[in-house]
Amino acid sequence: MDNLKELLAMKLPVFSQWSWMPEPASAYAGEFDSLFFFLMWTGLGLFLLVIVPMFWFMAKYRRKNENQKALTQKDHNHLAETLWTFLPMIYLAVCFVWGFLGFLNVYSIPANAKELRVIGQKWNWTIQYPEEGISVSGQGAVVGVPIDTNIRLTMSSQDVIHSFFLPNFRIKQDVLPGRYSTLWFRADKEGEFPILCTEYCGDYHSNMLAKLKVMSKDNYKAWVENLKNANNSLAPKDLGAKLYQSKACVTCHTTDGAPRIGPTFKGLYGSTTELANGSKMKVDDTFIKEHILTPTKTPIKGYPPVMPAFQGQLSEVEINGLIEFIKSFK
Amino acid sequence: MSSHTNYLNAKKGFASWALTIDHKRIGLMYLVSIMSFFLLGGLFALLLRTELLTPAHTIVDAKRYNQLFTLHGAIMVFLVIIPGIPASLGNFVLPLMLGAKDVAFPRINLASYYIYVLGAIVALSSLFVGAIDTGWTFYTPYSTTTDGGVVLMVTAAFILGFSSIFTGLNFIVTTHKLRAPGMTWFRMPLFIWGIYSTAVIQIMATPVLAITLLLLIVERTLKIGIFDPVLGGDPVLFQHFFWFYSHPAVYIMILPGMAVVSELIAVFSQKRIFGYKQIAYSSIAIAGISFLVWGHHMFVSGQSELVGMIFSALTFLVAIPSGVKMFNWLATMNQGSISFKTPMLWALGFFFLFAIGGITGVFLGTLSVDVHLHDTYFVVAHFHYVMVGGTFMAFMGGIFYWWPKMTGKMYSEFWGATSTLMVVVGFNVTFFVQFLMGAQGMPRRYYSYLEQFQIYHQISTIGSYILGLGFVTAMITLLVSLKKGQNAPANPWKAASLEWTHTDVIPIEHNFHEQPVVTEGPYEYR
Amino acid sequence: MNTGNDQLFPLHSHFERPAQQIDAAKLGMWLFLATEVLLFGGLFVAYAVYHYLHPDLFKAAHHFLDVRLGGFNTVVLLFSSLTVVLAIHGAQQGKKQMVLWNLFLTLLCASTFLVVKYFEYKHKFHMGLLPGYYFTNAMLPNPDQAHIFFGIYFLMTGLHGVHVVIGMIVLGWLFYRTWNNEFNPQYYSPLEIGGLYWHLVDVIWIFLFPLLYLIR
Repeated sequence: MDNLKELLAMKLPVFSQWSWMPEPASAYAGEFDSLFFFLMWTGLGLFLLVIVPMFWFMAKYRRKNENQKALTQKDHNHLAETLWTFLPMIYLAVCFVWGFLGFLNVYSIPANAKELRVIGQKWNWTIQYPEEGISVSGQGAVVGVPIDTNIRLTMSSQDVIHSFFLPNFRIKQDVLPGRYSTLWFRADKEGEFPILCTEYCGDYHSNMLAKLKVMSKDNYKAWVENLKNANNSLAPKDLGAKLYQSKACVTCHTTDGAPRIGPTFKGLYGSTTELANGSKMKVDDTFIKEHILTPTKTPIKGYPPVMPAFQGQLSEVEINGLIEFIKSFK
Repeated sequence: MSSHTNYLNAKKGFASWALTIDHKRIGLMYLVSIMSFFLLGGLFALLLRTELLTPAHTIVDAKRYNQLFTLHGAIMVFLVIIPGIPASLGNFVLPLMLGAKDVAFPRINLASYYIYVLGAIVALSSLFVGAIDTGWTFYTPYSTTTDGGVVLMVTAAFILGFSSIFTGLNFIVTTHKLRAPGMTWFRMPLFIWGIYSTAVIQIMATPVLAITLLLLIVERTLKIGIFDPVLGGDPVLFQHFFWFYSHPAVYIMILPGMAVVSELIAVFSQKRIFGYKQIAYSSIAIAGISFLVWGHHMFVSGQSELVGMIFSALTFLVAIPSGVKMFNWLATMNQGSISFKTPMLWALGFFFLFAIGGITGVFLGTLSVDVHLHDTYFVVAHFHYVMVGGTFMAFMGGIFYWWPKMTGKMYSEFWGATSTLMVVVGFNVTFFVQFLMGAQGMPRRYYSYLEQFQIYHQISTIGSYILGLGFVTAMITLLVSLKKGQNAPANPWKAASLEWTHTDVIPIEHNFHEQPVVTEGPYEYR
Repeated sequence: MNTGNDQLFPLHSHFERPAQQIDAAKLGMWLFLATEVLLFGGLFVAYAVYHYLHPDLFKAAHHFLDVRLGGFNTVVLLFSSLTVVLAIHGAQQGKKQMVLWNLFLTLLCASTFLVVKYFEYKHKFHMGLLPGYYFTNAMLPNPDQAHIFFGIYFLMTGLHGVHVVIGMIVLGWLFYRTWNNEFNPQYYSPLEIGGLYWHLVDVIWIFLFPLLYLIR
């Protein structure tokens, strides 16, 4: 899968190969890192606090001959026991309060945020821009956002649970079927940052990648315009080829005759196919359109009814493109 | 083997084992079964680590990989670590330590072993009807919609739950009713306190898992709409139910490990355990609080911020008794007479790895930090440090410690020590680097991954080979001792608890020649 | 207690005294009952959650349950608890006939309960009030979700029914042992323990009845 190779070559910006945290892309991420490194250094301190004495005792009190006795049988010390019960509480209380404040920040969404809608489905993300009237989707989809703008994501899933993860922003949120969840961020650095799915969702869970592209406000405007026009200027077949990749049709349908989760496109157009209910149908334009928009209504025999419905996500132009594309594999 | 009559040679033939109600034989049968499944689960782990050598396809396809990690998790959790120490070592040692002739209900004990075997068979049979690919957590609605043997695997977990309940019930009643004369609660070895606390969790949490799994089975077969949103259900409710059991289950796994380590540190330092009561109470405290922290698995699942806050606070609270135990063990070693026999090496390995596991737990309990780390390799590393670095290290230590009592044989100290070292080194190479890649944003359960993570995955995979070799070496060391080992004395470690002081080299069928009478605590070394 | 009646009390070899064996068995049973309560507890939580989510639905759906039949069954089970107590009382006094008759009556009550349940189930099958997939009834206001109530109804009463059947097996086994003269005024703890189990079966029903049949 060339598409996959391209996806995996996507770069997740990190400070350096051996640094702990990926490069922060928002003010919140910077605050987060100070807490993380606080935990890291105090954790290291705590670790040394128990491990150094352990090695010290191992060396100092090792049994040198068979009959050596312990130096003492003293088995309690009230002060020490009280201290090591209550001192950790103070440390843990600090961690708790600090962590809770950060958590509130993640979930208190500013009122003036620009809204994007996120739809998770096996195995790609669709992001709709209600204001601009555009949408992007598919594995490796490029999600453009303007810099220094509060972005609010309203997310839902079409099938199983997914989770929307932006490592460079230190945020993630589960995306559930049957209810909406929200997340917000404000990018303060231009660049490309990966979007990952972190809730296991099936065979191609790890291909469920997309790219967040933070742009200056002007570039963002241009990007939106460009996207609006792009699909109309391509030849139908080329548009279909593009959608075949970006809508992740490639995950389940081959073009070379090899079987995968769905039927191959080779020789599909014009053939006769049997539905799960036993009736036979000729694969023509109407058949293809129906099976793209509402595939599970009339599933095809021998294939699991797992294809997502594209109803409302594809324009007529795009559907025609896909039909031409499928037609081209005789 | 000694020429005296003992529990191993008192009766002969297959039936005398298959139908035995002797807790020692049942413990041994559990031990052999659990170790076999450990090897199987380990094999799956090595296969999936091998797959991860390259970012995309290496040896298996995505579907197979997903099945591998599911089977690895399900086998290790349900067949190895949860029954692990209680069912094998606990069965063997608990009545001996209490000065009892057997557990309270020997026949139920045998039944629990066969229920375990039945559960294991059902679990493995899911391999043949199409292996399950949901992950061991069976999250809905994925698990209600995917194909494969989900129902079989869930049924297996359901059955295994009963085995666990019966074992726990037996231990509680035995501890209450069958203590030898003079064996007061505070003269019991800390191993018993740990196993007792575990048993309390087992009988309180397991029924909730049982009903959850039953609901899941009914959901899949009849579509009753409890968990599947398409039918009007709530997928997050499943997570609540599941973790209400499975978080306490984490303590079902770790408490027995702590219990073993308490014994080992005291015996091999020849010093009375420091803060006996504090350790005993901390086990009970952990058992209690463990029921109130399940929500920390769900900080990003959409529960309210208030709920998140409460669970985070309670999670920190459960860290305290664990920390208390660490300090008490340290204080026990102080001014002791420390011997580095193999069981102690496992215990020290436990101490080292569990410290890392515990401290990284603080990261995950901290709300905002968990949001970033949730479902990444950081979590994978953390729970392996606790479950393998903690529980399993202690389990191995316990096996090496009680091996002379079980078999009457001493093993090679050299190979015992070598295997411990290999495991500790291999373990750190495998899992430490996973903290790093998790923090950088590498999600778990990924078949393919961004190319920049490859170097970490390769280090981790190499470490896993060393780790696997270490465990195999340890087992071979034990098996070789059966043939070539020297005969053990009755109390090779100069321990002071009843199973060493009042029994033959290999205990007789009813444990003691005469009823022991206890006059002092279990850690009076002279 | 350990003197004079050794033949009467079958002491297992790993116990020292009869009292110890009886105490152990009772404690074991109480713990087991606790796990049973927790098992049903999960279902009660599921009931509470869905009742909270769909209160109207639950109210509408419960009209399809027959309160008279449910009430009758409640009385039958309560009466059976009484007969179990009488059976144990008889054993304490060494009255074999009294034990046998009361165990018989208990079994009869249990069978009556199941027969009534059978007719209730049959009626619901007939009306298409079935869980999930098989739900075909169109009389309820929102049929896409109405099946949830019946899913929970069948799960709760079904699991309880399984417990009734197990209880009957236990009672039958006790009946057989009584018949065989295995019990005497010194040794009747299996009867007590079996009785405890039967009380649990009753108590669970006492919670199920108002939750399912008497919702307001």
